[in-house]
Amino acid sequence: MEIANDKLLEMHRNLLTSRRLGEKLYEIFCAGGSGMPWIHRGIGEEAIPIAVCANLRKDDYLKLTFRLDYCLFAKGLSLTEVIASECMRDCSELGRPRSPYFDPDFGLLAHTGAGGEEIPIYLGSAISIMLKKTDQVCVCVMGDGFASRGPVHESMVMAASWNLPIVFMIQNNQYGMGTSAKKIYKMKDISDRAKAYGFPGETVDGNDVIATYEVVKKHIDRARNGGGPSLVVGETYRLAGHYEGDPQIYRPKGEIDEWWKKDPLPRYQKRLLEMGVLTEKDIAELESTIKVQMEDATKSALALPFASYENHLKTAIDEL
Amino acid sequence: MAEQTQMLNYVSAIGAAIREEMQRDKTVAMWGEDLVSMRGAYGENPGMYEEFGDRIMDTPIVEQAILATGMGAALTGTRAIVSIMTTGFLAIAFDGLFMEVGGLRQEFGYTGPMPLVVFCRTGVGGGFGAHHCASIESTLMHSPGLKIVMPSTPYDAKGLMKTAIRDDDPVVFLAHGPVYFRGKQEIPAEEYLIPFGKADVKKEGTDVTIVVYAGMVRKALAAAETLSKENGISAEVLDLRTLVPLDIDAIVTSVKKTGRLLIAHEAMKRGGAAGEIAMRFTEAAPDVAKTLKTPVRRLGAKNVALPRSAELERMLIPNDKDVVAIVKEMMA
Repeated sequence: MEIANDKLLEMHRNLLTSRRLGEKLYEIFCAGGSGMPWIHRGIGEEAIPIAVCANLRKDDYLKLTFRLDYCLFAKGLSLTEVIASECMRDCSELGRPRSPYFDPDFGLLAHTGAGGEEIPIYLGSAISIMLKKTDQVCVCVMGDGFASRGPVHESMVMAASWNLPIVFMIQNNQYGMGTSAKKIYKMKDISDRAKAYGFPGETVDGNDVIATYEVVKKHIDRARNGGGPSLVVGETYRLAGHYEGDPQIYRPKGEIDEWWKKDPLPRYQKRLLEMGVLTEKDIAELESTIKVQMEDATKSALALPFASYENHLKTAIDEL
Repeated sequence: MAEQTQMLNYVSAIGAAIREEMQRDKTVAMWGEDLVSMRGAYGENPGMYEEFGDRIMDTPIVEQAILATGMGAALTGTRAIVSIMTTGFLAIAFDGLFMEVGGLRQEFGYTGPMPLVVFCRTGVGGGFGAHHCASIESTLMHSPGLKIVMPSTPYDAKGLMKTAIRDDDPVVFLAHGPVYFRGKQEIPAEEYLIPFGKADVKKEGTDVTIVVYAGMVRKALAAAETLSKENGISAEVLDLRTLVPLDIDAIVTSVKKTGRLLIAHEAMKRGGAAGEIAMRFTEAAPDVAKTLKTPVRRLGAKNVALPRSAELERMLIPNDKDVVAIVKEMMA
């Protein structure tokens, strides 16, 4: 598949931005006082959300795994909105919903505290697409842990039965909290699950931006053209603990070092350098641009007020 | 010229409301188990598939997905009605209902519309056990963000269903199964809507206020008749029609007149709606509460599981005789 240079560079810019944004959020969390309740870092897994977003329009529906919600800037949110959302600020001043993570106009229906439960909610957007007969799609990226929840199974059954325009994607970062995916999945290729539902399944190296882009594109195009649901599994690795402070006693010795060697960012940069699409100078310039953007966005985000009591009560019903 | 009317039973009245709203608004769509194959699990959607095609859809047996897809569709331009066969099955989708439908908008501060009707059969009778008959409305009352409708008559069911479909917030419409096919009522052919949070005085009275809803309304009316004929007691029967929002003003107005308050339901007494309603009354009108002629009383089912036996079931659920007995105590 021929991918236009503009698209390759857009994904590079977004991948680099996502890495620096993740680092910035970690810095904000460690500094304290920002309003960010906790942090579940997504470092090492950014290639999947970035490759998915590169295939989507603003009016498509998208759910990312909670630890990589910050990559929603690649779906059109501003960096300020992302940082503000992570820090529980109110974005009303920007003419946006309190949390831009919940904004159906941007194709975002938030996430729940019990991952996997939101999959059928997003499936509902695919029903709206079917009823309105538009060419939008819905993509649900979920972790290998949550992917076993009952509502995910029910959603896959229903999506198949109704031939809905949705791509389910399991981002296998090898751990559901501390439990190894190998303990849960008793097949070599997780995408074999798709066979049980009667739709296509495909596994891709989720740390390879180009490969992921191509596989995801194929299934999104299929859904957009009435081909129905499918399952993509992206193999990746969580380079940080489940939560900040996680002692990570569950990792076999040396495993993390092997995966650092497969870090998607340097890997993609090397590829683009080899292809002659990118130069070292470009990377350096982009780094300094992103640095400035990040500082500005952090400043604007942290200047926003915390979510207000009035806003919280707005959809309350009956007496309080 | 006499006003045009039609005779409808409870379930047909609900069907008529859905049909009218689907004709009126092309974004209304409904899905659930056997809505097409059986024209509704209890025959509540006759002729609708023929008229609306793919806007009425059969789902697999996936309550969690049925419920949550309704929410997602309601956030993305569909006025969704999802049918969950019974309240027992609604419990399967409890996370979706309580945490997501009820709570997620507030959790994230999203203030846009979410027009979702969760249509569900409830009501005890027939000895089918908990999954087909459970009265779980008080559990739902505890959830933030849900409106709860529990009509007792065909007339109310139709007007409230139309309001539910037009509402921009999620509504749980608990239809009373045991009266689905029991008797027809004269319904105006002309369109009417019944607002939420407006209780209906089903029978006026001066001695005692009996607050009821759904299946208990019929029993309270029968009790009121007995009390009047045999004991000379004038009972006022107030049908709440919606539990959330609750028409506390109507309760206070009635109790000011009668000085006595009984709240009765078929749901279990422990943690039931009656306790909540009693406290809401006390908080809303402490002065009236102070001048009551007798303490507030409640009537509900025993705190045991619903048996798979109609005979045992009848012994657990309050009936009109229980209402008569407790009112007589209150008058003593």
